[in-house]
Amino acid sequence: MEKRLIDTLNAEISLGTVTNIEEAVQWLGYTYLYIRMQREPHIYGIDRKSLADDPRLGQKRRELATTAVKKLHELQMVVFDSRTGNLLSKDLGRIASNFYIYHTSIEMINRLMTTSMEIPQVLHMLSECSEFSNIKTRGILRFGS
Amino acid sequence: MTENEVPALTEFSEKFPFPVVGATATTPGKVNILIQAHFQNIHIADASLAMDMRFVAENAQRLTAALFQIALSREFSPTAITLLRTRIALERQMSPDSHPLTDPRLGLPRDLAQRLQYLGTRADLDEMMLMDNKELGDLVHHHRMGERLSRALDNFPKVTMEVQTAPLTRKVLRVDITVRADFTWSDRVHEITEPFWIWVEDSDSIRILYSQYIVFTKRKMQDPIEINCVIPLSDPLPAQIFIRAVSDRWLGAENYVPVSFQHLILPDMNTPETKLLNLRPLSVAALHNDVLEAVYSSKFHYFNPLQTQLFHVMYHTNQNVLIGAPTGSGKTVAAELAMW
Repeated sequence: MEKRLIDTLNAEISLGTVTNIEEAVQWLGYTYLYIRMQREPHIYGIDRKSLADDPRLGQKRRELATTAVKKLHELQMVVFDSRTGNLLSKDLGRIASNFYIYHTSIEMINRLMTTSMEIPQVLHMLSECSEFSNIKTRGILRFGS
Repeated sequence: MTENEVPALTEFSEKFPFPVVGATATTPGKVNILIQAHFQNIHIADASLAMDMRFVAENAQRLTAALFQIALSREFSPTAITLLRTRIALERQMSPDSHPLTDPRLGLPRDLAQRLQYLGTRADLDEMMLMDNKELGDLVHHHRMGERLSRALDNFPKVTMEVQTAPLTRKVLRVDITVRADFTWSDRVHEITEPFWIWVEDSDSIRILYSQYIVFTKRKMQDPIEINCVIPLSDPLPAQIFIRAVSDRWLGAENYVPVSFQHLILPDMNTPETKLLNLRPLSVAALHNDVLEAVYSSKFHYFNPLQTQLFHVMYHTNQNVLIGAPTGSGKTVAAELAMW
């Protein structure tokens, strides 16, 4: 969930259920991640003391939401107005959410996509998508191990 | 226990028409090879590798569909076309460089399809459209096949486009496109719908200025589809723009028409406008009506220059007036004057 936070938050923003940073913090309170963070704070790098001070993890939730939103803004998937805290979805964010594309792939696409690509370049761009990261070449090294 | 995949993958990649970027032992290299193996319909004996290929082929379809949408939203025409071709090729499990008529849906015999693939650019689709049965038979050195080819060409989805342009101002052009289906519908060949992408490109065929998705159905295929759009014009005027049609289902079902601007007459550079005169602001007392004066003097005591200039014509006459002024310049109050 922690790794997928950016993608899930993007989906919420493009659906329009989260429209500002406050709602993002609130939304995090509905997630299983929130429950897990309360139960096993040490796994998520929260010490007992700060959990005692802030049992509903408001500070941690805000931290997570802000980091995720800043990343989405940097990838041009949403517009984040840091002054008002408002969040607005963009074409790129909506497409990523509609087709379930990871933000790490979007990052690569932002880097590689140019105006006039031919088939070999397109195939290269496709093969670099994070969606394929679990495809590993079973080579001689793992033979018999 | 799995055997070493690298030699098998390397062996495949030597037969591919497109170079593989990345080493075979890396994830991108392997994915690239598997996508191309899917294009070539290569049979993979190794079960785990065959499963990887299915996974890659299915995900690549979804990813190219997304990439196409991204290219469209970034207005990159050449990349969008390449991505659309790649997506169709993945869906149909044929290489993106296949001859369009080798599509299995057209039902041409295998050896004939191979013959067309071999001829490549010598069997140009546009030229083939103009040939009669005998010429088509000559082309593939198989006279009896002339008729089959002719029927396949007739079923192959094509559209014709008629374009009319009308400049609205010096910077904005209205483009009306009439798209007509130019093929014979066959239930064996076509699915329920035949969708096309239509887009307007700039003079270098790089930037997409406008795009639309249209759908032909069997029942409504005789009806032309009208597209109306407004595109920005650059200064100086480009020599031409292009209207492109690309099928969403068929490889190579593409065409474009140039729209020349040579005889385009643009409206005058100067827009007719009334100069704002340097008048002394008029007092609300000029209304000569206690009720109205009370309404306005709660907000201001003098009309602004725009309202002052308009006052007479709005308040005292019944003439028609067209007011165009920036937001916040007092148009509303000027319009109110006409109502009293």
